[in-house]
Amino acid sequence: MERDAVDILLTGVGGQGIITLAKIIGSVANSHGVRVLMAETHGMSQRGGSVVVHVRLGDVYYPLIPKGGADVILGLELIETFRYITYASKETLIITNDRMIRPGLPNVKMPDKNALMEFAENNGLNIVYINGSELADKAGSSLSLNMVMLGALVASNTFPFKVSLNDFVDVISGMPLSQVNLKAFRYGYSKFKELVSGAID
Amino acid sequence: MATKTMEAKVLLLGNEAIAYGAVEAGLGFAAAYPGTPSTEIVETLFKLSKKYGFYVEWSVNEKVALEAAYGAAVGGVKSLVAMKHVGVNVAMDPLTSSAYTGVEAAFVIVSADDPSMWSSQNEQDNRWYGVRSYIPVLEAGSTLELKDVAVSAFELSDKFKHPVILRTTTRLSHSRAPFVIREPMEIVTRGKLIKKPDKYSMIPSVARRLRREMLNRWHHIREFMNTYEFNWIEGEGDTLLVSVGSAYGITKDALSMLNIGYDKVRILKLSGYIPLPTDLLEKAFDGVSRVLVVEELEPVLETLIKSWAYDKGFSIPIVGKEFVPLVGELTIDSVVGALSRFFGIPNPLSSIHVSGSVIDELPIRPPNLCPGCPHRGTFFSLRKALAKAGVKPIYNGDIGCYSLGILPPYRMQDTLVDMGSSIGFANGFAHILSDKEIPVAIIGDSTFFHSGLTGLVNAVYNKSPMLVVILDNRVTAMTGAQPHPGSGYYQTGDEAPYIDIESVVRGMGVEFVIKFDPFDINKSVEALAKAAKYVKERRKVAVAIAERACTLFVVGIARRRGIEVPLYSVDMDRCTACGICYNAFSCPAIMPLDDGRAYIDPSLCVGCGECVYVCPHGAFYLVRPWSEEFKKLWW
Repeated sequence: MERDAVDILLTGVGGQGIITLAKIIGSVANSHGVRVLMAETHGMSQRGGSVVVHVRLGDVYYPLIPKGGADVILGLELIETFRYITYASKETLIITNDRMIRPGLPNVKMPDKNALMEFAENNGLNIVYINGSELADKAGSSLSLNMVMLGALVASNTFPFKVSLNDFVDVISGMPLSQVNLKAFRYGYSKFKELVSGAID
Repeated sequence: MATKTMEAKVLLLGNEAIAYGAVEAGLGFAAAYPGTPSTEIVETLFKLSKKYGFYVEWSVNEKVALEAAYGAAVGGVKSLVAMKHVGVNVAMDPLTSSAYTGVEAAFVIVSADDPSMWSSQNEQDNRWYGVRSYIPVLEAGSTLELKDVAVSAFELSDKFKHPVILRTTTRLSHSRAPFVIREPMEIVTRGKLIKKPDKYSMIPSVARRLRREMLNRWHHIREFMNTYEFNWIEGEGDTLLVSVGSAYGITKDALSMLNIGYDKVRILKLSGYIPLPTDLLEKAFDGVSRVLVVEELEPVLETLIKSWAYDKGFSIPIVGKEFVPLVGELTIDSVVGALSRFFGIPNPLSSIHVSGSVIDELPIRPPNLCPGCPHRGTFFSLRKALAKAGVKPIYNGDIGCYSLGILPPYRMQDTLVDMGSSIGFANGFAHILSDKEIPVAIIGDSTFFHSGLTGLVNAVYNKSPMLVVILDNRVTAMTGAQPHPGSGYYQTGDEAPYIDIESVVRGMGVEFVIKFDPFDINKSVEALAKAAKYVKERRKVAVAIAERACTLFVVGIARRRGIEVPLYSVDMDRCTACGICYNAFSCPAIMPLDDGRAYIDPSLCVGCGECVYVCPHGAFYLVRPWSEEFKKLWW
């Protein structure tokens, strides 16, 4: 099967800033001359619901990634990462926040985190768990979780162009709360490096 | 790696690209009623209107929006009207006749369809509207083409002085892609007093003549479609794939995943497909042995092509929905599946097997009323009030954020069909229920202006006993807080006439009207119980108006201005772990700890205070009070 694009699936909960995160990836890729197609969730589904954004970088026409076709799944919430796990194959790099958010429904039965991790292991998935929420709080705001996860994604070096940290730093610097967000981005970047290669830089 | 182009490309949402395309084509007038997935088109036009000087409005509903844009186009100004697919139903009457009269300048109707019903009550295929109304339909082959196809819609409409439907879908409109933005050649915003009653006044004698003229134009438009720049044939194979609209991009990607080359297949790429470009079709059919029509939803082109091929005497197999799904939006997965079955080759897509695993048991996460949403208070109070008044309700729901009242724990949307259907349905239930049962129509402010007015007049006139609860949160909240006649300002921020719902309702002859603040649960229960008793005893319509602005919108303003948002917390000594707050009231900011006691997430709580009334143990207390600045944001 031919690969024409690097496909990144972003998952999480409405309100976590996933579209902002996708737009940053898109704008950096676009500035590198890479064709970007992104499919977003808008409207009713955003109200605290499950959110998924498809980002395809390369010469494709349709913005939705096929099942089993994601190169990377970046999950901002653990339940949502596993909800879209059918987009993964054994070749997929899955980077996920390790925290769960309770759906706003009565009498919800939350999944067992260990059972989820076991499922990933039994299926031979390449999954990296990041204490993203904790790092975001440490950076100064729980709302900066999206930047922690972006940092981890950038550290994974899975873009179809040569990544320069400054590309991302420049974009984040132009956003509100840039100090907190930059800190969060760096925490995520270092955490991924530390977990994957054992190196801290 | 892609090559650098001469012109800088910017990433735009599909709907933004349609707006930029309209501006590039010389747009002079735009109107719309918000509706997913169409809303961002006119939102973007508002942003561009100051710079280019054209007129934009949020109209009260789609019919009014379409008539306004139609009128402007008859007056000689290039116009656009945008709406979601079901909005076109509302506007169908003038839309149909617009093909008879034609226009003096471009008139483009954007129909944003919603295959898979991501945010809609049905997945009707509005391409049929083009077929049955003699209105050409254009649709981009992928998001990448959206802007250029939008420009071409204006050109086509202007050339034939005939309305054009620019069809888009959720996937096209809510995808982001790179576009080159170009400046408009000329913008005309002032038209003429057109005095042509023999063309624009549809009395029968005029209409009979216009029908023939329309059919004549239709013939010329078909000829145009044969050479339309976004229709083409590619590949040399003897199997023809007719890719209709956005199915083109999916088909291309699917062929590449299946490693099927263009020596084996020929693609007829159709972006202008109604009327059917028959000469082009004949060229595409030349020498092929079989045809697969790849299109989303209904077999519109499949039907038209089969009928044409029969008349032409073709005897090759022509298939479509036998392979391509009829339900839901097309995906690469479904088209790869269809093509692999059609060609008899293995499907290369495979995915992790999840059935029977922990994944099957993941809790669902539907969209929810926001923390601090005034609708939650209204639903909670309404249920209590009806019990207090001793009436059994049927909840006739409507379209808006409050549609989410269908979810547990409320389950207070027994019916919910279309804009205005709350009062509409209640008009029926009012005359068939027993004396202890009453219909309760639940409708938002924007929906009330859109389609509630006529239903309410009907209820007063026909003495239909019903409780109408108008949830006035001051904006069209669900689509992103667009202003409406009851907001008091325009999208641009400028002050607008404020149309007071209470005065409107009283003017219609409703004798019982009561208002309440849904943040104050006790007083809300009292007000709603009074209204319900009135309906029960007097057998007439009563209106209760919940007045509290959209919390998401107000808190958004507070955060942008750096105004501190109030916050509640839980007194752990008082909390008994009863669960009323997170189960029966179900605020997303309140969650259970492991021992069942409540916890308020400070990043979600916005300090509405509704929980204080809900907790029987007085366990919630104010940590950060309402500042004067914060209070002022609510109107």
